[in-house]
Amino acid sequence: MIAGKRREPAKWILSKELKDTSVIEETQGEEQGKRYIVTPLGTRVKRVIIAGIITSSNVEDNLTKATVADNSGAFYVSAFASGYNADAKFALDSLEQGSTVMLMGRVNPFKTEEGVFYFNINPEIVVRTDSPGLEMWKSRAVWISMRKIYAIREAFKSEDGDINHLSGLGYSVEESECALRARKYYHDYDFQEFSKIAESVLKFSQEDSKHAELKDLILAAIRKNDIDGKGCRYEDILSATLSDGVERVQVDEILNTLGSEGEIYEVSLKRFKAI
Amino acid sequence: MKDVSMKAKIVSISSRNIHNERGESTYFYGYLGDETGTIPYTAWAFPSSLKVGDVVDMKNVYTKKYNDTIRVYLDSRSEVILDPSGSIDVKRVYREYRIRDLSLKDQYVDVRGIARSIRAREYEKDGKKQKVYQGFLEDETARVRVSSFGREIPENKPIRAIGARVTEFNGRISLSLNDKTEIKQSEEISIPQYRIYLLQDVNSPVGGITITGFVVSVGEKSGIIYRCEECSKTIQDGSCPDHPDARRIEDVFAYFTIDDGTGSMQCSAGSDPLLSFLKIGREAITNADGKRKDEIHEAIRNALFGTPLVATGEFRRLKEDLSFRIETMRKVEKSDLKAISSAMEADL
Repeated sequence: MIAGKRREPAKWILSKELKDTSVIEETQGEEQGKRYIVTPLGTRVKRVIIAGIITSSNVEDNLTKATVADNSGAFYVSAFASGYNADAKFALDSLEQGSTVMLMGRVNPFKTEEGVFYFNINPEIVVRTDSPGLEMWKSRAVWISMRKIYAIREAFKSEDGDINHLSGLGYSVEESECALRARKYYHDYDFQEFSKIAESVLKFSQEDSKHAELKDLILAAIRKNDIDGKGCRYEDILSATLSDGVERVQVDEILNTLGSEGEIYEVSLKRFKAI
Repeated sequence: MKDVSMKAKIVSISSRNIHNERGESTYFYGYLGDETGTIPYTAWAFPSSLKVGDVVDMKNVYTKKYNDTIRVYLDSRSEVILDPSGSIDVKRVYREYRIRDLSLKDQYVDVRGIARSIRAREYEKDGKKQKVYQGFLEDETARVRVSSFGREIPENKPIRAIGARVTEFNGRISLSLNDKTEIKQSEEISIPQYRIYLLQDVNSPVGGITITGFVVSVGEKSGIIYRCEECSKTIQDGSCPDHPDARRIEDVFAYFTIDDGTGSMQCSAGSDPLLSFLKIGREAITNADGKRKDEIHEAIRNALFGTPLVATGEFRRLKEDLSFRIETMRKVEKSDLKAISSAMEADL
């Protein structure tokens, strides 16, 4: 890609990639003073774009601490009321637990005396997003991770393999550079386990998506088959969903969910109405 | 291969300035040809008196593979001597390209596509009236502008243009067809609903491309602007410098950055995509006072900032950077996710 001088690029990484990081790169020359972290997948990071669900939030006047889960683990976020990014704190404060959020921020590494690393994200942008936004981020972040893992496998096949070798195999410059850094710093890392977790993030999303599709299907069936105003019969829901291969047990589960979410109610025995 | 000697005709010459740690320098590139075909070249030193059509004897040049193509390289050791009496009939060989891969690195190409929106326009050359047919050519991968001088282009049918010339005008890749270009019917081409690309895969300023990502910044000057009614240029200070008496008309535009995880892109959107995205009518920007202008700016910022976006449009090259001019845009919806995933799965 052709790109000009822009802000420090933000990396889309899963929380597991950040959590497993154990390398902080001290920079020289023009970049002196900038602290980059190098993740197990070789990503050189200063700024990230993440998305997930807020699972905890502790709001104080000057500082808000929150965790954001992405199905591979959790990101830890600290937003301050002072400095350039005060708006981000106020935006974070306005989001309740369980909200879906997209967040861009700088990664702030911390190493304990015992050599344990912690990574906080200081947000610059905090925006409430929706399910499609979250799914777009997840699928892209997993895709980026998987491409890097494939490049890393190639890099490990040959200790002499350089950037030209990996580019020749079809990997981008970024993917190739990441693979070489991973080979240099994370020789003993369990990339297989990372792959499994990354794939499970997608699987989780697909199940979520399938669940949402089923909900829409059943809601539509209830609305369509409530002909006499007395509610849709359970049998009509079953026959409407049978052609899509939905099992009875799934229908029961979705009816329970829709009922608890206040989308439908049971008018009389085995008759349902949409709200 | 080192220390090669050859006699060839200069088919094309282009130059490019580069800036590196050793300072500014210029290199030349283009095509050489003879009776057997053509070959691209790069010259770090090249006699300025040489022009297209000259036949030259070259010594101490070398060849190397670049982008899967053998290329001739000329450096300070190479000798290039003009043969004023030389004559070579160059056999043209054109490489097949998909539209998204077109670039000035290969100026004569063999390309397939379906021509759309072709319009005829008359112009005068050497006192004679001539016709040029202009429109778009699109394939599975992208869309570009196309001009055909004197020959009508069959519209809405798959065609193959052998020997089409690649040019870059106003920062956009275009194709030019002339009487030497062979135009013939091609096999069917299936045009997808969206051509979704990751930013890392975009290298050329072509159109008909869809990108997806989060908006991570919105330009401060996004909002209502004024244009000259005569020339449509943006008015900065009260009136148009070229048409001071012309009325100024309101317009709206936004510029913002989309990040897709593989890169970020400066995007701009004019009134059509923007008003449709904001779901407001043109009357909302007419005769706007200061308060209304602020409201429109806020509406743009609130609607775009942090939003997951699907945007279709055209890339343009401004200096060395690409930017993206949006034609349609909308928030990512559930129904888009499958198409977004499919575009990525192809690379896994």
